Amino acid sequence: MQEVIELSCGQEEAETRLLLHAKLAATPHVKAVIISSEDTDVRILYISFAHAIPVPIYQRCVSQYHARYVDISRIAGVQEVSLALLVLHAFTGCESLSAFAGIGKTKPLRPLKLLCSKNEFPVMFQNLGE
Amino acid sequence: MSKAKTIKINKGEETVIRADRNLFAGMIIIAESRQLHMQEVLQHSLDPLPSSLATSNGSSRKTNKAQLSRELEKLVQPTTEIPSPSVHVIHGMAHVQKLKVSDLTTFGQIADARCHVLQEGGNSRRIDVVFDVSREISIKSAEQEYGEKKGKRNDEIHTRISHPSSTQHVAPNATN
Repeated sequence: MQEVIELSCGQEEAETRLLLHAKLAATPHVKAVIISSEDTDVRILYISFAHAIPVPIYQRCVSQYHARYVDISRIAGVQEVSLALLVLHAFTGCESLSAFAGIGKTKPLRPLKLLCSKNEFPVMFQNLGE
Repeated sequence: MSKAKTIKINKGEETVIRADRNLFAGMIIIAESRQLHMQEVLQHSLDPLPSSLATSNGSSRKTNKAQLSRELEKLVQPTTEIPSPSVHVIHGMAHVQKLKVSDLTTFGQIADARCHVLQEGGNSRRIDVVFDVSREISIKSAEQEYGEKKGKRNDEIHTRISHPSSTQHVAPNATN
């Protein structure tokens, strides 16, 4: 048994530390990283940081006895807002943050998609809090 | 945090007053009819916490997170083919919470049930199991409170299996 120094960090939630493990596991000969967690936070974190992991990422979701894999890297590629997603998630209410009344979770996503061509709103969300 | 207050009206009947907006609306109307200065009255906040951010019982407003997750999933087709060799990263706590503890009576049975988790990574060259770290003062305290209220989180498991050393390493699969 030996300690892996690269993996030591101050994050207490496994959701964030999963990223570190994926990054370390993504060695050149590996063709895929499979994450076994259906959590929304995990999905959003991975989409946001997919660019930092050089290997295709799949999220394993189990419904009853059937498992399906969601191609995280492809979502990160399709979605121009992937960089803005993290802030959008916090803005619309996540674990430790309160949401604004009457906004909902997906309502902001639709206009954001439409306004992607303008490039103005994703940039605004990206810069928020920086 | 605002609490529901009970007041007694005649004949010992009890009514519960909640700090909701209707109550404050009523109070403003009373203030107006008694010719108080509206400017001064409305300088004070109506709720202990802004109602745009908190519910009337003082907890924070939550949205349905899975909704966003579903929207994102619609963007791509689900895949079944995973390129090999692959590595597996498992959220340990999420799996523990999925276990049906009611059928399990001993630690041994829980451990056996956990071992099945590792089977799904059978084709992988490396399996990482990641757990939450337990700290006394934690960002999660508020979230757990919320979970308890909704009865979602099984705190029994939380206390039973929370473990300070959080990183388990499983050696590369012997068959690979």
